[in-house]
Amino acid sequence: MTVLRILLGVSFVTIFCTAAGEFLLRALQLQLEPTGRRFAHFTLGAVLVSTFVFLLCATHQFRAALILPAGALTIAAWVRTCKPTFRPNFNLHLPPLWQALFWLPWTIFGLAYLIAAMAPETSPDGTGYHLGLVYRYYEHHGFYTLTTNMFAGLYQGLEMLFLAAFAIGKHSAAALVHLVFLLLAPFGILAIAKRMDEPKAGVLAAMLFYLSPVVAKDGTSAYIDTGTAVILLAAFFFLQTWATNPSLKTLIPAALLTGFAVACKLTAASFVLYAVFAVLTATLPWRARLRQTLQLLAFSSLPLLPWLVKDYLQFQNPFFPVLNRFFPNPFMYQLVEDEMRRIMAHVSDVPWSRLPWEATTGGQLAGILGPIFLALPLGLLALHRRSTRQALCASAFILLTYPSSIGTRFLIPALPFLALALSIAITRIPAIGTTLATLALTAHALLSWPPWLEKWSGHYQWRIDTLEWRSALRLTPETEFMRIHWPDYQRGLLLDQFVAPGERVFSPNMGQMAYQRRELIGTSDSALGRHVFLTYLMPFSPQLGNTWTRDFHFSATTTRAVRLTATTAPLDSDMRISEVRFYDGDHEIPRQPGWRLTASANPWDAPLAFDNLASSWWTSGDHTKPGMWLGVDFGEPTRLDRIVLHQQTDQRWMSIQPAFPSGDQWKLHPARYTPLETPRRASLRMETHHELWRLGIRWILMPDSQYGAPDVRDHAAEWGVAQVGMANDFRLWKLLPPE
Amino acid sequence: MRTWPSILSTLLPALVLIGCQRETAFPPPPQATPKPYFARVMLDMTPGIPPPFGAAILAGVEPPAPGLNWRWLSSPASFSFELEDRVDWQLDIHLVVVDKVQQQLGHQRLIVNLNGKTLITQTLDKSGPVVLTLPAQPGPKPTLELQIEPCLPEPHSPPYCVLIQKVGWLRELKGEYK
Repeated sequence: MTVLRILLGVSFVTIFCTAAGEFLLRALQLQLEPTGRRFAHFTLGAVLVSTFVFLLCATHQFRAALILPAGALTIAAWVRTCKPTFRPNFNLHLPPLWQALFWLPWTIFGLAYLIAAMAPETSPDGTGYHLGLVYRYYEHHGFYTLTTNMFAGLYQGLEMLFLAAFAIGKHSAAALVHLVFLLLAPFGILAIAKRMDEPKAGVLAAMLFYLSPVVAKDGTSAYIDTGTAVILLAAFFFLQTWATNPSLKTLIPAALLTGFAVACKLTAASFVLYAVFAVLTATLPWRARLRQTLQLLAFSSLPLLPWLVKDYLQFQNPFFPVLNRFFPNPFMYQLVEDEMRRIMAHVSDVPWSRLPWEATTGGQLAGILGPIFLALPLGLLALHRRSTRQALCASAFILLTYPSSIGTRFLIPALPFLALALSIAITRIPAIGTTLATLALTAHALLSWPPWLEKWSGHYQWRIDTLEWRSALRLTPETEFMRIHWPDYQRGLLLDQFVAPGERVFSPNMGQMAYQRRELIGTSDSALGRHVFLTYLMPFSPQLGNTWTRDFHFSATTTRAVRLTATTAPLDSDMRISEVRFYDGDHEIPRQPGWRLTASANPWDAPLAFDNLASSWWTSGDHTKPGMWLGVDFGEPTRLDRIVLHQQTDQRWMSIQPAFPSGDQWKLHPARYTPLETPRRASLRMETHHELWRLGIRWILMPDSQYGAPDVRDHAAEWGVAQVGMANDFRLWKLLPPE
Repeated sequence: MRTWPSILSTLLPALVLIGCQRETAFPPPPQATPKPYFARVMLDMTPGIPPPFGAAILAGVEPPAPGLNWRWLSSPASFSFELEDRVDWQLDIHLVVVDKVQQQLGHQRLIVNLNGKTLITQTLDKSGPVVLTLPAQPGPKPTLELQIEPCLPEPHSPPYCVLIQKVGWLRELKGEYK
């Protein structure tokens, strides 16, 4: 029954997309050649179905009872109107050898991929946010505000298709939707190559892409890279159509697909530049080019705009979780964004000189393309051919964003075009082109066959590592498969068992969201997560637990406002202040409701430096820079001659000075200060408990190997926690309500 | 066709401007008042609050009921604990003397035994909450016994004595961090 539901889920989405796509093409009166027709229908329909699901989610109306009839009606109308033929057509209109070189690997690897994709989903990101969010949208009947997980701000164009399949067949149905993109990719590449008059290169390129180990793993998981690559292929395909017949009706599909690619994965944004470049450099009068460029941008914004609006409404940043410097918000610290970008841009600290090796063969970048791609520079041999220049130009634009994320799978969107350039060079070698292509394809297939990969490539790579048909068909129960292959599964089950809906769980180590429904707070997923993490560290880190007091004395000044300004050289760490107290002589100036507290960065936390709690603090959420400040507007002239700052000891290297307004400017005021370091308070563990409680944390899930976890275990009474469960070395701690 | 670019080009800068004008200055929050902090090894009868590590009800407490933060205690009731090896623990007992029981039986007597020795004997002569906080030297694995006399006989369960809300140990967190 489970298998049937899975197959029904993926079939429903596939046919729904195909039907919607063909309707749109009929409306535009576009005729396509047979090889790329189904590919074009499906990908174009994906834009429409995804946007439809988005609208249902945005209005909280996503229900199987709604999407199923909508899809069924569309499919019924399609069958009635378009009269599609379901008879398989294996004729690619190629010589027999090339037909065999296409169909043989496509079928054999396709079966392996089917088994891999149908097995219970356990991929890291798939079970993290891709399906974790899908599961939550399904439960909530649409979008809901989840500001504690930055991934909720990523555009989720493909996930909307996953959601439609998930509603019927759950996790594996979603992964299979991604597989459909992978299975269709070779037809798209072949169709493009045929138009370039390079059909043989099309077969080779299609298989180089299709068999690539990283593409195989990605495409059989609930990831989005392969899907995005296929959408980009489709956009390129329609740009080709437009190039031969430049009109609005040929431009619309290309534009919609270009925008949708960005809605699937933000890094595809550079393809918009390619599309603009392609239109602007067409052989048309400049007015027509300009007009069509604007039309391209307008139509490409249609699938993208809903996501921009959603992000703006939920996160105050249409590009969340990036560009927070331009759209400051309380949900993501700039510091965390910078860290994330640094990690993504320096995976495993692989230098650029080793990128080609690691991405193709080594595996240090999480997955390999296959050693055949070391021969990519050969593609330049065919640079004199227009088709090669087109493919390389498209890939160059797509790769513009690659330096920001150098993991191997971030090469997938450009890979079809790179493969095409290489394949053109190989197949065009006089006399031996066909032989070389056959040998290259055979070698690539043998090296990429999943069970053999482990024999020659390094262990612990991101690749298809199990082909268990019994699990795929659920003859081995899903829970049994999970228990053996994936420790996070049972850890997640603890949460559904003990944690009430709406209660937040701090877990520095687990990101499993797809098989449990609770809100996990990680260390780097949000501003709150980072705040919680640093708070959690205070009791066992003297750097964070000790107090560094700066007692500023200066000549008495009457002022309406004061800023505590960093005068230090730029630092890697953020600026943090726990408490600020103002004095006039010996008297502390009581805090007044009329005061206004703000800061140059992360002003939302500024009140935490004025709450009389030593364990709470304001953070700039950004690297400390000269001129950064935390300020108070007293609302009336106030006399003061002393300011006491409490900070954490790791802040002692920073220089801070008070500044007062002087005309339109702020002037640093000379002040001498006495530093004082006081050790951690005996009550710090319980104070931390109270602060975590105030931040909304009710549970902690972590293994004893987590930094600080033994302290929690050995001083549970002082932490105010009680263990309620344990699974695969992870303890689930409940924070007891403060007395 | 030409309206979309104009809408887009207007909307995005507008979003930027709105983003810049968001409220970013706040009044001081409610002020926390200084208070002592306590470590607790407490058996709380409120459903959903798990027992701390090593603490257990051994006998004499009726099963919990949803929505109630108390359970009936019969006599004798006993409890075991595991505590950190420190000396400054206090015993904390939260009971509720039941009016109906007092009306039928008159005064009740509470005897607290710690590790087999009587710690305190107290007369319960008024209905309502009773909180006992007693200095004690519990040792690392203390056993606590509460005896109540007399108790109200019940036909289908042990005699009802008092209601218990919490019982356990607390220690003020002061002095040096350890």
